[in-house]
Amino acid sequence: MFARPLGRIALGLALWAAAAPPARALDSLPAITVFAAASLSESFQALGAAFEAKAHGHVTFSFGASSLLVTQLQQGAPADVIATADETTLAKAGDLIGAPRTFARNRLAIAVEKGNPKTVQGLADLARPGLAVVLAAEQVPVGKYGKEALAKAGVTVTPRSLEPDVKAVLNKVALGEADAGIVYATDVTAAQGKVDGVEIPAAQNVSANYPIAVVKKSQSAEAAQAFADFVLSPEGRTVLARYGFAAP
Amino acid sequence: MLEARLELSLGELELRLDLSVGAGEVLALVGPNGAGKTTTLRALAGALRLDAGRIALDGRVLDEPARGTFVAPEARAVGMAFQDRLLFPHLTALDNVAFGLEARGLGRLAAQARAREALARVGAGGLAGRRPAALSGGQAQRVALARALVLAPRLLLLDEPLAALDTLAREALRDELRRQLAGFAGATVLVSHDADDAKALATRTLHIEAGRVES
Amino acid sequence: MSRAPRLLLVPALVAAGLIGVPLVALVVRAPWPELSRALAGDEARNALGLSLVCSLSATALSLVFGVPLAWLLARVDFPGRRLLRALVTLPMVLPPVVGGVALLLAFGRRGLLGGALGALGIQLPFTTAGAVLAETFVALPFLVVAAEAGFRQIDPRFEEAAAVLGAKPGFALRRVTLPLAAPALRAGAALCWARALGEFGATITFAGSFPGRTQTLPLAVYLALEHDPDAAIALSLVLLVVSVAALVALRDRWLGA
Repeated sequence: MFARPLGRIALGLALWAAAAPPARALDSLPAITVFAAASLSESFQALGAAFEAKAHGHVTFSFGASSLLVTQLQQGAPADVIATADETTLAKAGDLIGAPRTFARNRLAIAVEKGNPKTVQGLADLARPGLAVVLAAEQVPVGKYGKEALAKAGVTVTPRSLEPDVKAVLNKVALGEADAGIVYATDVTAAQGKVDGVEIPAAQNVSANYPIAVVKKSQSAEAAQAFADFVLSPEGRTVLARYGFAAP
Repeated sequence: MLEARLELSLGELELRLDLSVGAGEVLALVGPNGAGKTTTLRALAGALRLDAGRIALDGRVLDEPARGTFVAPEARAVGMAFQDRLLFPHLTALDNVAFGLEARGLGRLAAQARAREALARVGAGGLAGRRPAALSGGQAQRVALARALVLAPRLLLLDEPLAALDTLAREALRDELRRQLAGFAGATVLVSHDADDAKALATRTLHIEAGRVES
Repeated sequence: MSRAPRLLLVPALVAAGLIGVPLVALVVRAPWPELSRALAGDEARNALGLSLVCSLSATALSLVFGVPLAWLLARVDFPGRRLLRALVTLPMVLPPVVGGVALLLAFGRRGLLGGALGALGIQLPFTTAGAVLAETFVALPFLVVAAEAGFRQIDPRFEEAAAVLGAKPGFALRRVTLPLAAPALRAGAALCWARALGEFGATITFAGSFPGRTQTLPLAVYLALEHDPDAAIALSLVLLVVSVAALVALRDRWLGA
């Protein structure tokens, strides 16, 4: 009774495997694993593709909250390169990493529902009673920055939730559950129209410096260094700019 | 007084039976397995509905499909000792016997008092606090009998009351049953696959096979 | 002793080890000196209290609504029964976060029923009630599965006997069916509670995370892991101790017939 459907599934799998792109011939550089902050998801995937096309090494990414990535690194997770959304977090990695270099800067923005139905115009509006605001937890870089920005603007906000990373904040807004959330400007760009962004003026805004470092215990130190250098190169900077990051 | 004309289809069994049992009478239904004996009792008890026919007990119609009359089993004045006893395993013998009384609205203490008397009357007085798992076949059968009799029913239904008992217990229980039936004022329908048991206990015997009286 | 038992010993030990070693490691590597500091804070007490309230509420809801459903699946033959049973067990195989998204799409502001709920003044996301709902969603199937099995193994002739003896359906349910199913129901409730207590993905997606309101113990552990691993281990140990204590207390009922 199950033979026929199983047969069809097996056939399907075989065809799918055959149609997959041929395995890339590993040339000079071996494969590397890159840990990167959640806000770098889209830009780093583009950088990875460009790096692979250029240097023929294979890059695998693991995206997540910067603080979580550093903890994982400390617990021995295998990574060759790590890039976080703030310098303090990366510093916690201590002598597990080589000298960090700042490769980009990001700024904060307010993500709102498409069309901005609640007409949020600035940080002050986030204190509006009845507005569903979602922030990232303080332990996460964007949460810390958000708190700083709110303090600069002299605004007190009672959020509905303190999310564990910036993408979670964005998702709550994109799904329509929250009216507004503080995210990075790049996240608004990356959301591709699912949310609208409200600018935060420079006086209240916080600049996030993104550092990148090579992990000392890396098995592919040469490839790791090559990737880090690529990110810092003018070509890398162009890619990052496309996603809304400012030069360091 | 029981007057019943039974017409019922259950699976492959086609039951067509006419019964008439007077007060104090004991009718035995004898036949092989699958003959429809238990089905008959279930229909009389109300666990099964007739397809056609009529059941009347002391003039009260319990089941008549043609008129749309059906009295639910819990509302019939019927006491039944089931095949395999079916004593509730989570209750003591006393609570088992008291069950029907409590179900019909009697308070717990009053029900237990009457249950104690009923157990004593069938010679199972010392078993009140025991769980069914701790009873022998003969003992369980006495409790099941007490459970039916305590309700003072107008119709007593006994399904294979002497089955699965060793010879000694069987003889003792047969005597006990004879005593109880002699003192019972209502009508009794008794089911057995053993013709000798039937002869010993019944005033009348009906042989049925494949749902009908054997001609 | 025949060969078979000895052969089974090896995989059995591996299974025990797979579960046992990480748990032992948690206890052995716990930063005992720092624990009291980590646990003294409001965060830990809030999270534990909230976790207990939510998981017990979820279990209560599961019992109230799940037992009747299980009875229906076990005793009534209706068209679509198998489909309903499959549907009810679906949350068991669904990734919890997907469950959370589904809950948002159903009960969120823009959800299928969101508008209606909003009109009644009921808001579920970002509330404790929402956390309870998320936990119930993932834990209910465990209770239903156990309860249905419990009802099925009761000889239906007992219920018929009860009726013939004079029990109306409600009386029979209370005095015969439920008591006979009780061991299975208790085991199901224990599983349900344990699942609800450990729930993370659906809760954080649907209810969000806010201390004292929706930040249950698993969410607190996840957040603590990022900036204070010692606190994370401390909180995990609390969860472990509470769970073990409860499961041990239920042990007799669980294993008893």
